Amino acid sequence: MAKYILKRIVISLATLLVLITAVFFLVRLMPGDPFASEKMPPDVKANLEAYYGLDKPLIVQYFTYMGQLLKGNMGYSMVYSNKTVNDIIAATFPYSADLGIRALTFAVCFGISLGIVAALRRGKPLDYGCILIAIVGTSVPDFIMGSLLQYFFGVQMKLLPVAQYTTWKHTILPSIAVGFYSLASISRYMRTSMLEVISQDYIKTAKSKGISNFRITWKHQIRNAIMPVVTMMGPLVASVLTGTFVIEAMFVVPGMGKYYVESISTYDYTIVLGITVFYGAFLVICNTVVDILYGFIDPRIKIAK
Amino acid sequence: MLKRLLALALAGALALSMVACGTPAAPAPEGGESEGPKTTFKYSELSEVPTLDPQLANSVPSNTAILHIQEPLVRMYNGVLEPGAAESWEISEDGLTYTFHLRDMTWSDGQPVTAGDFEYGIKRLVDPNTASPYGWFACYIKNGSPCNSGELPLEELGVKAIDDKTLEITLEYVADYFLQVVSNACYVATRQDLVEQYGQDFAATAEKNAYTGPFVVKEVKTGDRLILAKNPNYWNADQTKLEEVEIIVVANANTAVDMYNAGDLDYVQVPSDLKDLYADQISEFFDGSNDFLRVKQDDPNVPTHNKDLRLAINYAINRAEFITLTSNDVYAANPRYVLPQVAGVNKTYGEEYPYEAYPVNGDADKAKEHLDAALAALGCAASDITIELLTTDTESSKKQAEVLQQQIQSVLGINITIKQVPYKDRLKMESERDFELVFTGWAPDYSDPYTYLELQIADAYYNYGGYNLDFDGNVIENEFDKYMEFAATTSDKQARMDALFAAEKQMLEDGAVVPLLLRRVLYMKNENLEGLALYFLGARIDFTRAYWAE
Amino acid sequence: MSEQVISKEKFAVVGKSKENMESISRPTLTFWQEAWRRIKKNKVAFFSLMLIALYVLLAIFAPMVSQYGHAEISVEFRNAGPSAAHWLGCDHLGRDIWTRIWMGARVSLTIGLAAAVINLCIGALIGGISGYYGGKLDMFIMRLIDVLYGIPSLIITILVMVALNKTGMITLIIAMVIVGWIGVARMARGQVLQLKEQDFVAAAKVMGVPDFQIIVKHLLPNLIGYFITSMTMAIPGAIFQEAFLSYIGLGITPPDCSWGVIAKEGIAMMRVAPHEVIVPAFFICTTMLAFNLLGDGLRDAFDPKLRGTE
Repeated sequence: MAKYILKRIVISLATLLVLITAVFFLVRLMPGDPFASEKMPPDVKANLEAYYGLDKPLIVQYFTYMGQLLKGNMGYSMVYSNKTVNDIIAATFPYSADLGIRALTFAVCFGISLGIVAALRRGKPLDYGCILIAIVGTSVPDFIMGSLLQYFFGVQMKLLPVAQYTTWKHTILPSIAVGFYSLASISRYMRTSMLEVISQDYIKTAKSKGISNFRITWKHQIRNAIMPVVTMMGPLVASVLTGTFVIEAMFVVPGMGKYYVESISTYDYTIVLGITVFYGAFLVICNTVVDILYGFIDPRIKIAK
Repeated sequence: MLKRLLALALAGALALSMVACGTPAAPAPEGGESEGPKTTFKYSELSEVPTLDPQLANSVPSNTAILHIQEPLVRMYNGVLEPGAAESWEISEDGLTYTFHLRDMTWSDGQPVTAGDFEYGIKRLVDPNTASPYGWFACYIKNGSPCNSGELPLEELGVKAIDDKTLEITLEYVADYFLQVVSNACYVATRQDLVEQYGQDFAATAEKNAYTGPFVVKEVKTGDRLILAKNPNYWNADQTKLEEVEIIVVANANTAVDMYNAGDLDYVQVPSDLKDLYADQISEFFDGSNDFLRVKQDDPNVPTHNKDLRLAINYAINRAEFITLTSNDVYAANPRYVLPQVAGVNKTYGEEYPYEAYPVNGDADKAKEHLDAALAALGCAASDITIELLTTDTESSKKQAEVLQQQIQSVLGINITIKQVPYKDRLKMESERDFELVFTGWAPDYSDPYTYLELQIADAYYNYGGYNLDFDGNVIENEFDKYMEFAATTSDKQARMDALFAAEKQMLEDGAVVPLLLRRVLYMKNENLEGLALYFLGARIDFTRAYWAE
Repeated sequence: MSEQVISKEKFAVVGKSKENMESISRPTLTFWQEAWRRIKKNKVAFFSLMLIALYVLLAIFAPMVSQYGHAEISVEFRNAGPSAAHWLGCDHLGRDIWTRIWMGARVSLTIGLAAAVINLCIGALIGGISGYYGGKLDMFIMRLIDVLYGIPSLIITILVMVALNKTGMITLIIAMVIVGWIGVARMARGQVLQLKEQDFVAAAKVMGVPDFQIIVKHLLPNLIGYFITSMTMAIPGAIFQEAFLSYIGLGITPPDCSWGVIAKEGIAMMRVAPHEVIVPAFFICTTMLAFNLLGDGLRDAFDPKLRGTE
């Protein structure tokens, strides 16, 4: 196992290197210009390009960047000119991560429970209720869901704060808004997966052996059915933790989402790269963990040796 | 029944286990709401202040914040110039030399403010190694442009500290508006020792800068807010009534209004769609933005090289209806090019030279007359003409483009296609002259018609549409340039203004642009908050003298 | 109490026949016949199918017979509520929402379905291969997926637009597919990893069925439940992604519209003219509901494990 984990980590690092290289060159292929502005004569632009080293050959820029990256220095933003990418991530990631963890906790608890309940009560009103929640959750996009939550609970009923991210009360609405889609998809997958498992022979075998319903559900059904959900958790965790632009903007959460989206449309190369590196590293770690978890959770899988 | 109980138990167990291992400590909540007489002021900006470094600033939020923490030589308050760091100044007979006499004042860390600090600030703005995006703003100063491009050494720049209290600036050409130029953020005093100590981190956090203005930076919270506190060392500290100001980033305009209603903000801008909901609380001001279409004129493949077609488009647009549909009548239809609020000789330019180049309700008959002339010259039918309208990828730009498309198509029968691209792409395509019609705008740098009209001088860098250029890019002999040349050299103020007006009339008769609208900002503020100044130049929102009424 | 006697004449020897011994008594149905038969029995699924068919028909014909153009603006009817003249009211530019909804349905239904189906095919195949062969190939494909997943999808879509140098539905679908198949592939791979250890795969191997056939004919059909679930969830995703992409100039160009675009325009007017967001939301939600319930029915109809069990 230790050897497998080590090998997995080495491969992860290689993946990350490929990712950074790909993004570095892809970003430069885009048609934009980070310094475009209403009032930008060519001389001024030349000064800026020289300052950020954009006038050098691309390959030189690449090695300069990689050299700096090895030292942990991701460079200064081209829009927020006094801030380094490191500063921005350090300041905003905790908020995105906090919101993400709350949203995921909410989504996983209720999503898995709903899926299980729906599957066990298949075809009953409870099941249709769960399906309805899942459908609303997946077909109402976050910007509408967020607006509605904010409008009804914050503005109309005044039950919860409208925006900002300070006390635990402030975290409730954005967490639900972010987590609802995940909740819905988790519950859908969980239900489908449970239904598959319920009809398997080993469940019948277990039943015929006289094992209690609780034990069957807990030990045999859920443990087997949770696999597809675990698969989707890797990317889900990474994307939710690194921030959701629309909800963060709507609820005034000072998270990373804004920089992630904004930097692409403003061609702020250093931020795009920095956040991609960070996000990529996160993703690779999550997937590695998921892969390793597979081995622990699912008795049937033998990971490639 | 048993099954249901089981399911519930399971759900509970799962929930518990998740809670047990999740939820780390939230970032420490901050909310110091103190009781007593109110001395704080909170408002929201749609975007974050990109930088507090005066010479690197090139946006309205940066300019606004910096003008509150640093003292310019001359301060503009509600459109009126007042002595700032300079107690007094003299302008030489020829209008080319400005001598500023500084008052006794100190930085927030106790050091005296010297003329050398101002000289350093201006030179830093021009220095190509600073790579200031606003470096061109020193073009009025002698050798400003060649120093900025590195052709001349910085020593050649026309800025000199005669002694600790006297600063002398020599201009490249006569510019009556130069005092307005120095009231901008990028001309403030800057501390050489701090810049050298912190490098690019200068002004990144509260400690990495020193302040001369009514406020100091208390905290910079990246992506969240900027907190300012009263500067007790400010030369006019008695005037500052607010103890603390929070500028909160609220990217979603509707959320900002909700926060205002919940009492989280004292001032908020209201999106035009919500105008009717808050009609009784809303006030408004022009923020100086003037939106118009640039038209490609120097390309034989783009039919708008034909003057009649450009005029046909101008007459086809019903600007009043356009404003109603796209902004709920918040913006004002603009039948001319120059912002009428800029200064004329004695009153505003708009009052001295009223003008309506194209009727605000459009004129379909005149439009068709011009169209017929255009079709005859181009030798094609209206339906053969297709023009692409380039615009930004925002909701409001889309609305505006859709209305223009419908209006032009229904009156003229030509085809308009819409191309939406991200803001920076639009700017890039515009400056590379890669467009046919582009929805654009211009905010004034100083209060004078020249700031708009200079964009249309044939060989100006900003003449993206190619007005008065032939198909090879050569300048055509024309009246407009002559008026502009006269205005730039004369010292007779009335004659100068007459020439500028003649130039504006000329370019509109040539259909050089398609003027559309002047932006008005709707806002709500707490009724007890007084002394807030909102103006279309400088700090758009000025709270240096704001206070809470009892 | 008389005894019933069955006369011997009623019986006859039919003799042995090789064909009859092996024949199956139920009528042989193809996969699709069987599925259709079962769909018809499922009332909820059948009703859903009919609703989708109705929407498709309206999308084709409603704009043709409407007296208003989908781009026709009017100051007078700006934000007007539903009336006899405008059945579903008008939007912020005074355009008839009924007409716009069905113009938008053309775009949204096409893109939603096309993107979801193509994503599914590509993703299932790649995921299936990756999971089935395992080892180095699996490792390679999964890491490739990690890299693709890590590149911001916005960058990829912008580059697709630049590479194809035009906008429109095809560009939009390509851009959505390039990153869209990844989720399905991960899911399929995870499931195949589990399934390939099962006996029926071993049996097929022993009988010499080629690998590719095992993947396509034996493994993937077992995942039909997941695929349908993920597809029904991918359709609304695609509809809203399209709205977003249309904003960065990649999708359909104004004044054309789609449901996502109409909803996005409407949400800004929520407080002033709520019908502008309620109407598109209603059509999006009912479509999704129909697709989901149909999906549930299809799941049962297509699942090989449930075949013939009634």
